[in-house]
Amino acid sequence: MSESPPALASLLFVGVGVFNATATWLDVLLGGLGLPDAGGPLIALMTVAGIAGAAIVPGVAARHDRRRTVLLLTPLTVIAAFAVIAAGPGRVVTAVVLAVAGFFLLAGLPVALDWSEARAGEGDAAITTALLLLAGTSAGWCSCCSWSRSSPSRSPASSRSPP
Amino acid sequence: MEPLIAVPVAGLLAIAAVTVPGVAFAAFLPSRADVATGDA
Repeated sequence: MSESPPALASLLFVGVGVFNATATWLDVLLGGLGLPDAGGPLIALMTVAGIAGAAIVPGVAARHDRRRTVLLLTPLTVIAAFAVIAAGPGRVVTAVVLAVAGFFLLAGLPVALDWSEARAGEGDAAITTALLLLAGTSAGWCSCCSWSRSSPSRSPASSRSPP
Repeated sequence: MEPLIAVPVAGLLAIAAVTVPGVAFAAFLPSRADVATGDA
């Protein structure tokens, strides 16, 4: 084992948690910013962009040994993206920003898994991957459940009015 | 800023804020991934 898995696990805890929190709350948050019903399509756009990123970025990062650069750029991109969205730039800019954030955010997972295998070696690759995915899944559970408990009146399910 | 607008802005900034530790975690990573360690 090397020193990388704890940092990678922490990184995935943040990354997967942020994606799940975004998927859970974006509809409510954008509705409050004057973009009702924009959350669903924008989450779909973010996911599609992320699938493209996951297909493109890991190979490029591995070929040029820029995995660390990608994993540094990913949270920085997300921070900048949500700061821009918080300013209320409108539907088009929000869509573009979310697509860029999703492109890097979802690409971060395969880059981290690729890193862990390269770093830990074949013998430890399976257990390292399992621990990393456990860390990421834990984050999703924590972000959704704890935030829902803390703000039940603003949870996505309760925010939708009956037809 | 009206309270109704401040809540979603705070939520979006909170998502950005919880991402900040990710930068620190990534900074802890070594510069190269493919350095042989352990049984590699």
